[in-house]
Amino acid sequence: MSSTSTAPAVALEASGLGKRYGRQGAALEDCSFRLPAGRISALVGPNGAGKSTLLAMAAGLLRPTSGTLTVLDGAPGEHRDRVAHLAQNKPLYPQLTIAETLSMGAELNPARWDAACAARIVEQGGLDPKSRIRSLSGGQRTRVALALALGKRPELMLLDEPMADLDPLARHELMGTLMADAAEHGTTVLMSSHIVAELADACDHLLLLGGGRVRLGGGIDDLLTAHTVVTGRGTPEDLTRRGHTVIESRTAGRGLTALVRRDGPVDEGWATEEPSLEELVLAHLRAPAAPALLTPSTTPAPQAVTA
Amino acid sequence: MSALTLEAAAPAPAPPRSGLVRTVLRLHRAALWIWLAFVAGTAGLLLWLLGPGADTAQRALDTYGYSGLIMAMGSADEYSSRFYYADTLLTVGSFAVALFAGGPLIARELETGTAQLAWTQSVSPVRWLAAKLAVPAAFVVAGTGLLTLLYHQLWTAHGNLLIAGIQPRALYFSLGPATVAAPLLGLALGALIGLAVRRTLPALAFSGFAYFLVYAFRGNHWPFQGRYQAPELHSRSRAITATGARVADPDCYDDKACLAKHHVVGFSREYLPSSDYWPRQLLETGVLLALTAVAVALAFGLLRRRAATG
Amino acid sequence: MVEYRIDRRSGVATYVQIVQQTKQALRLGLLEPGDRLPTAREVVEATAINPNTVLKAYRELEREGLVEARRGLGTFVRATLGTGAQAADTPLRAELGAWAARARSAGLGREDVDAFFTAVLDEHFPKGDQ
Repeated sequence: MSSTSTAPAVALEASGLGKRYGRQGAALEDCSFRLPAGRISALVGPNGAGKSTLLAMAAGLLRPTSGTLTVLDGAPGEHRDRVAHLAQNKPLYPQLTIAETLSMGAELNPARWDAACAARIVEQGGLDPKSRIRSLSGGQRTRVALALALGKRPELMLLDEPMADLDPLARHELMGTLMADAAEHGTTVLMSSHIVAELADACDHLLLLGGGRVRLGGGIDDLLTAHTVVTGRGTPEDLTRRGHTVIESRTAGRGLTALVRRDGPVDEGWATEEPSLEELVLAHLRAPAAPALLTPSTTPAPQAVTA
Repeated sequence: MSALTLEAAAPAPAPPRSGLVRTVLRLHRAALWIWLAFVAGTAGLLLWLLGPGADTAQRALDTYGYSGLIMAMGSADEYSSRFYYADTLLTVGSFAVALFAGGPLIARELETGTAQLAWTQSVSPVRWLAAKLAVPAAFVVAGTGLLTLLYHQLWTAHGNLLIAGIQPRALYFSLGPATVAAPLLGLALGALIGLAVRRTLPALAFSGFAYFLVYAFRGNHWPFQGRYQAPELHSRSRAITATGARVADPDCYDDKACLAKHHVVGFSREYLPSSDYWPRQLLETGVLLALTAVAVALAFGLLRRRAATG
Repeated sequence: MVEYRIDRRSGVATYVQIVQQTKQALRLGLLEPGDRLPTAREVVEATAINPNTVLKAYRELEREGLVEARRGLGTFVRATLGTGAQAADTPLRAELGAWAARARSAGLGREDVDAFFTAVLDEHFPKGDQ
């Protein structure tokens, strides 16, 4: 694993970040988190949670209306050469051929362009470099857009619904390519999706957005360990009295099944089970009032941004 | 907002300008070819007017004087109207520049997200807009400049073949540096509108309307002097007698007996240059370029406000 | 070279699947000391899982002394696991065979034997005692 890059320990840090669009409500509000470098993070949330807005701001495409955002130790847009962004609609120039699109990548990113890598991704999809972008299907365009993003050899990849219109085979293969790139170069990846299962295997870090705020942030293992699904005879109050936070509970016969954020061990008499990532995410989305949880590595340092 | 307003930090290594220019050329290949074809076609028309086209009209002038030009049904009359085709083409061309700037150059890219694609390569929005404006501007200046020079050449050589009226005067006073500055203003206005509107069709409509306003105030409608106080462009028509003397046109029309009686063997006619030409051209050019600069500054301001720059 | 298959529905943690499949390959003699395991890059390219998951599995195998990472070269098999094939002809197997024959003639069915066997197995090899 080559580690020649001088990647900072924090790839992305937001503090009180907010974005408002005109008279509409806020897309993001008072968002604070940090994404350690080298993580592959899922950005999860319901539609309209502000995922695309956050990614576009990190890519330097939109200006925040409040708060600060630091990307690779600089302001957003300061290190455009080291950040790749794949927008949700996968924009490409329809009038260019695939080969021309890739040479555009080479011309606009001369310092870091990896032509072989970009060409290989296109080749794996059986695409003819001479075909025009306008003649490609949605999935094929996604492949070319990913080739453009990976060919740039970014230190931070911001991917907005990267796999949405790919067939299962291409999805598996391109996710593999992405993971291989991350394994080899230590790339930090932040990718959004509202299909949690799609990301569970590939990601080791989670940012859950809901209502414009960060609801959960941290290593997936840490977040899963911090929560437990308990089943047994008792009431939610029995659990809260012990200091646990009940995120969600439902009746199970004479007792209940609840997803709790533990504070110390759970009393004997409760059957415990580790939740799946999907259960954890869904429980938090269904319970907007549940307090947010950010693991220490994901919590921004106070007054971190003094530059 | 401290981290955001920070722009003095070490700049990211930017791609060399040539790559960005090549990319812009490649993206607007079709428009480039259309523009080159337009310039070549219009230049061809001007060259034809300058050479072979002028001959027949010149013969009519030589034989019957200015009367020959106004009475001629056919070639001389056609020459006079064809003389203005090039002007129409230049006008259409400059409208096309404004529409192109509003639609395909800027708004379509913002609408489809390809502008944002460019900004996530190693190109900042500011550099992107600069290239998007500079490359077409270079082609507009080169193309329109060449055509204007040729046209001026044509006026000097064959302005005498034009039928008098408001048309030659309007052409005379509009043809010059301002002819080049006007489409530049169109380009800047189109870009500004494209950035503000961000959708292709409305941007096309607004750019067209904006350039129509520019066009309406140009040339003979130059507001600072008023349409009816437009300076005269004096013409002098003379008949040449057998002795070589230049006398007033005897108004014989095509009456050969009359011409013989006055011993007229030829005619000459010219438009006298107006002392007003340069002040008017330079003032108009200055105003157009100043408006262009304002539009460009507003466009960059708008872009900076929207996107994080760096 | 091993190619790992990741079963997303098995409920078994992904890194555990890699550990188990590697051990299985060792038991079956498909991997022998000196063989190189695929690099993390190769594994994630084929399986689309997180690179850290592979590294975690390899660390686990290393901790158990089964493999060793050689800097810049890769991860190599160090030890082998007793294989079922080697045990096939041992006296232990013969005794078990004789016992099974006696059980059958005593009228026990397959499921009875299975339950018997599992109970004895649990008694002598308590769970979590790897």
